[in-house]
Amino acid sequence: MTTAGPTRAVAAVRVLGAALGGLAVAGAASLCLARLPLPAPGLGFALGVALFVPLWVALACLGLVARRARHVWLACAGAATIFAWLAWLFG
Amino acid sequence: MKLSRLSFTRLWAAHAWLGVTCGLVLHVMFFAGGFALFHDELSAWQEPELSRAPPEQSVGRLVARALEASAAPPVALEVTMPGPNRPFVELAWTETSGARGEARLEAASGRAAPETSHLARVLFWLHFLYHPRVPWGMNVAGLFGAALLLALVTGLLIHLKDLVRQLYQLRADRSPRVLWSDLHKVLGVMGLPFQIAYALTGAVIGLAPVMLSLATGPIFHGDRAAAARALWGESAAPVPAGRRAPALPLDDLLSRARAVVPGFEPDFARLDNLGDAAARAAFWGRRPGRLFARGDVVLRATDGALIADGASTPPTPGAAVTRWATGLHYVWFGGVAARILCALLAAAACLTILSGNWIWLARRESTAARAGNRLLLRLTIGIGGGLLLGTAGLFWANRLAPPAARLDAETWAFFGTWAATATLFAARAESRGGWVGLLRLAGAAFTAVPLLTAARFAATASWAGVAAALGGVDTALAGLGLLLLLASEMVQRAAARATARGSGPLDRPARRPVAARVLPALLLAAVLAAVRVGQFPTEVGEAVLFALAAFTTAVSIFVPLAALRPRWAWHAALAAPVVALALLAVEARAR
Repeated sequence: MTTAGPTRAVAAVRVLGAALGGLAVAGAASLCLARLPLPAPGLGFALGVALFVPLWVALACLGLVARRARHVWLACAGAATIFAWLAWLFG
Repeated sequence: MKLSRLSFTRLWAAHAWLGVTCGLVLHVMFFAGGFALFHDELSAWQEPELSRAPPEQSVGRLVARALEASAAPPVALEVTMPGPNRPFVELAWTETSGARGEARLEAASGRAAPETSHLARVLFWLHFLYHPRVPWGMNVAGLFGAALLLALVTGLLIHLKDLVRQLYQLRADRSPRVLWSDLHKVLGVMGLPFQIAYALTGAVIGLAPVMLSLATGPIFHGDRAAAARALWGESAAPVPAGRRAPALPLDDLLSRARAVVPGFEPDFARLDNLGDAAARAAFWGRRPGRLFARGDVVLRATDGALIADGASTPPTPGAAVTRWATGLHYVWFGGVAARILCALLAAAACLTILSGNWIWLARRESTAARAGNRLLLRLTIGIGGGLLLGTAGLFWANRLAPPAARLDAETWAFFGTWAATATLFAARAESRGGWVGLLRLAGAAFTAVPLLTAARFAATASWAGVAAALGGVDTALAGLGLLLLLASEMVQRAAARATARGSGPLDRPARRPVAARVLPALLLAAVLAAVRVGQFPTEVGEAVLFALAAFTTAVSIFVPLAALRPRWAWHAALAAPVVALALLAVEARAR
């Protein structure tokens, strides 16, 4: 009984991290793909649109099975920052 | 592959919580989606007063006559063309002053024909939670698509260790918990390709406008038209040249569009900058013989010269993505037969979702008194089952109400019946007994719709005329009604058997071998696909998609059937040629 509260809170933090963190990373990765200088014009944007949802779902699954909730947030923040930086670089 | 205990528990919890929180909305979307696949057929069925006779005048003449009444010549014009399932022409135009006008004409006679029914549109909009006053409902539907995809992936991962057994194991002689669990897994695993395709394409279609808005700034530097072209292949209207020049008549432009793209059959036209030298005509339609080939053929309206042929080749990679997503989602392959198969798969998806809720409740029998579980029990039958009655009410209202009062009657009958059923079961839920009664009532109501159609025409037409008026929609609704009656019988028998025998050990394997359950389905799918492809030669991609849809549907129906009555499955499989011929007859009639 004494651990139910903190356990639920940790689970909620992990679920939020998986959903929102996955969304941020998928968004940044799609943006990065869209700005990637590919030979065919518009191909990167098409890949970004097509892969955004599968990427989000895959990242959410990974986030759910991560050992610690804070690892999910840290990994998502790191990956989103890297992809955003790459997108800025390609722009 | 076997997951660690921790991963399994977390993925299982995510799967279960996604099911109970999003399941009912997804059930509504799948159920309405089954009807939305037949939007055109329902649009023609819902207004029996409109004449189906061939048009006396061309579309161009009808449009020109309708525009004679407008104060000034239009600068922009949109025309929804008549077709086999559209006995009307819809116009919307903008005048130089910015004033807008609209008209709807009967295609056969050209007389004004105001809309008297919105049955098809109600079900279509419900499918993606859309209303003009709530346009963001479509984006919410996209989020539900993503949630469904997550539920499917987590479900797949937790059953990966014993996936083959989930393909056929359905122990109908066990406790309700085992039966719902087996039914959920069998239908979920069998329908997986269909459900993944629908979840993914639905999410892409629903979230595409949001993605576009977010991408316009950082990728297209604020150019909304360029972003729309990259995603949908829409060519933006050119800037007016400022020089006056007459546009060719609509009929001439239409015949040029058909001449430029062989087999092209436009269903929508948009004309911009009329009266200006930069006038442009864009015709939307499908190009037969190419998979998912739907797009716009753009002509210069002053001389009919071709500007772009988006119907043959997607103009951008993004347009190709959206075309594939839309083509798969709207079943632009395999004709009416494939749409019937996908509607059956949508019904199986509804059953998968509802059985998921029943598993949740059955696993928590000891905590059934908790408010959350009581609410889920009542919502599942009230919202999930009430939708069946509400939809039956919508069809009854269409046939019983006079044309002048039909629009309101349909709205009240649909939402009123649905809300009343939900309220009734919220006040007094009786799980299985309630479902049997509800399925019987809805089944009887759908089965009676052809009788209402016959009664409507009997007063004014001969028996031959009444028989001719009973088309595919009436037959399909009667078939749906019979299916629901059969389902009510099966639920009652399963419940009685489970009560009589009690619970058995959960891990006892299925008695029937896999062959008895999957082979009849394989036989039916092979016959269906071979006959159809032989009759209507299509391209390889279309044939493969059709065969996959046929197999998935056949398996989803046959495995539960074989588990309940093994002989039925073989009898039904032996009747495969009859089913194939019936589908082909429907297809030939549609063509």
